[in-house]
Amino acid sequence: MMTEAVNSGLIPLADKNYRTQAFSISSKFSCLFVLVVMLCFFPKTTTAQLKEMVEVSGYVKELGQLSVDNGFKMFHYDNILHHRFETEWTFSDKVELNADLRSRLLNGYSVQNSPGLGLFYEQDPNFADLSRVWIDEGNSLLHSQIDRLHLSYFNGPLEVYAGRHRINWGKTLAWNPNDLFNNYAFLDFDYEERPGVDAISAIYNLDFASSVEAGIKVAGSFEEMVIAGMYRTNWNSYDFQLLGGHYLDKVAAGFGWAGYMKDAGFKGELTYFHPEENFFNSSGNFSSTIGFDYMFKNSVYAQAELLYNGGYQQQANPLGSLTQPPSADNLFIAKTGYLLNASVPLSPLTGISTSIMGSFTRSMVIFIPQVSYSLSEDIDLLILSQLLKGTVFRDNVPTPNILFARLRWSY
Amino acid sequence: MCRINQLVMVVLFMAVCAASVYGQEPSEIIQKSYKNMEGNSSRAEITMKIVRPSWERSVSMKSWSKGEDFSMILITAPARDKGTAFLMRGNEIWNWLPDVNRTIKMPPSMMSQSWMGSDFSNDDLVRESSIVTDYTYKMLGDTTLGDYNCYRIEMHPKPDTPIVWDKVITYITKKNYLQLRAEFFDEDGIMVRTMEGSDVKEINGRLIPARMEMTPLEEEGNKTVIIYKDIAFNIDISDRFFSIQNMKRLE
Repeated sequence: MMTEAVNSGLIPLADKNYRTQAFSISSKFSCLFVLVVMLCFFPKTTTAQLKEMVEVSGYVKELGQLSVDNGFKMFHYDNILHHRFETEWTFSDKVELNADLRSRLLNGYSVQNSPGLGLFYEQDPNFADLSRVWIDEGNSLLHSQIDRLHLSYFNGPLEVYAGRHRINWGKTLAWNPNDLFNNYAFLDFDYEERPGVDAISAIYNLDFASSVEAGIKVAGSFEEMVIAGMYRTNWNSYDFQLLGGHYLDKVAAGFGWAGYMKDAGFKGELTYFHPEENFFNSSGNFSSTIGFDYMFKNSVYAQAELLYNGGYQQQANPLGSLTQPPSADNLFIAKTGYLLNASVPLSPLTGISTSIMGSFTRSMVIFIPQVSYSLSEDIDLLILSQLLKGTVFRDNVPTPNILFARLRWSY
Repeated sequence: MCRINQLVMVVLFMAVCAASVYGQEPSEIIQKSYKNMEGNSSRAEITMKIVRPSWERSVSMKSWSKGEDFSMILITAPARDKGTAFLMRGNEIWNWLPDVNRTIKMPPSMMSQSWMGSDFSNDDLVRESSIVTDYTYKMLGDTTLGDYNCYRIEMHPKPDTPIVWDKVITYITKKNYLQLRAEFFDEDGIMVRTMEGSDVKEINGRLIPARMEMTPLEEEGNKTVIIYKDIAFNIDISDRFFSIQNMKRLE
C-alpha cells in the first residue's frame, strides 16, 4: 500500500493539505490511551468485572511487499508490522463504547525514499485528529490511528451512534455510489476494517429488514459535511433502499437493491449528484453499479460487477487514487469499470481467488491472484499479487508488479 | 470466509432436516428418534471440528431457529471470524460483517452448494431427502451398542429419490429412541461412512447424544465431529427476533 502511495505521487499531494496541528496529540487520543492503560493496569480486584464489561480482540500482521518493474530490473521491498487492538465496552444493555487502535511499523524502500510520508500518515482526514506518528527516521516509520471511537445507544427499534464509526450504505462489492459516508479502496486489501468517519448516525428499525436511517458527517465546513437519510425496505426477496441528502458541495439522491434472479444474487446502486452552487444552471452526473454473484455446485463463488462512473475526472496518480478511499461521486480512475472475481476453497485450509478489475474506456487492467492458507486455528498466511497492466499505469507506476506475503495472528 | 459459510450451511441443513420430518407418516421408531431432535423452535451452541491426519480446525457458533423458515447463526470462534452472523428467512440470506459494519445479501445458491472440508455430503443433508419420507424400512433385529439396547433398522431409499446411498443401517436405542449409529453403504454394498452419536446426556430436559462423529471409512484419520454445548427446543422466540437489527447484536 505504501509503495503505491509513493509510486503514484500521492504523498506530495497530501502534503498540501497537511495540517500543522496534527503533531499535537488530541485530547480524544489521550483518552483512548488512558482507557488502554486502565485496561492493562487496573487493580486486580476489579479484573473480573472489567473482563465482564470489556471485550478485547485484535491481530498482529506481518506484511512483506515486493514491487518489481516490467523489465525485472528494479526491485523494491517494503515491510509493515501491524497491530490492531479492538475494545468493546458494554456499560449497560443500552450503551456501548467501541475503541479500536491501528498501529503500523513501516520499513523499507518507500519510507526511505519518500520525504513527507510521515506527514502523510500524521494527517487524519477526519474531523478529530486521532492520528499520530511516533517514529519517523531513516527507513522506519511508526504510526497509530484510532479508527473507531464511538458510543452506541440501543433502545427498542432505535440505534444511535456517535463518534468515529462506519456508516456503510453500499450494496455492491467494489464500488458503492450509495455509500455517501464510507467508501473504501478495493485495492487496499490489508485494511479489512476500512476507515471510519466522524459522524452521528441513527437507525429506526421498522421491521426485519426495513428501517429509516440518517447520518451527519461532522466537519469544519458545510462543503466537507455529509448530511443524508435513507429508507430501506424488503419486498419480494429484494432489499430496496432510497437515499438522499447533502454530499460535500452537491445534492445527492439515489437508490440501491439486493435481491435474487433465480439462485443468483442481483445487486445494484445508482446515485445522482448535482452541484449545489448555481443549482438551476449547472448539470449533475450519476454513478451506477450493477452486480451478480453465484455459488456453483463445485463451491466456486463468482462475482461480476459493472460500473458507470459519471463523475470521472482524470487524475495524475492512478494508483494513489485506487489505494485511497474514493469519493462517492468519483469512484474510479475511469468512466467505466468492470470487476470479475472467482474464489474457491481447495480444502478447509486453502482458498484461492482471482480478481480482474479493468475499464472499457481506459487502457488498464489489474490482475489480483491470491492464495490463503490456514497455518493454525488463529494464524493465516496470504500470498497476493497486484499486477497493473495497460498504458494508464505504464507511464505513472515505476514498479507495477507487486507481490505481497502476509502472516496474520488473530486473538 | 467461504470456509465458514460452508460450515454454517451444514448446521443449517441439519436444522432444516430435523424440521422437515414433522408431520410425516414413517416407521414409528424412526419418527420417534427424529422427534427427539426437533421442535418448533430451537437454540443451540455447537462446535464443529474437522479432523484430518495432520491437522484439526474447528468453528463454534450459536444458532437459533423457528419453524423451517427462520434461523440465525453467530460465529463465536475462531477469533478471526468471531461476531460474523447469518440471518435466514425463507430463501433469503444475509451476512453481517461486524468489522466493516456491513450487511451483505447472499445468493440462494450458497445454500445448495456442497461443502468441502466437513465429512457431511450434500446428500446427508439435502432438504428433499427426508429420512422419514424417502426411505422404506426393515427391522434387522436387536443389538447392543455399549450399554444401550438398540433396534437395528435397514433403510432403503425409495425409487426416484436423489439419495446416493444404496442403503443405510441405523441403530436406535430402545429406551429413548436415540440414534447412536448409522452406517452408509454405496451401490456396491460397501460401507463407506459411519455416523456415531455419543456422550448421551440430558440437556434442557431432553436426552441427546451431545457428540456426533461422521467418519468416511475410505479416508483414514478423517472425521467431522459436532459437539452440542447447549441445545434447547420449543423455546419462546418471536419472528421479530430474526431481523437484520438483531443479527447485528447477537451475543
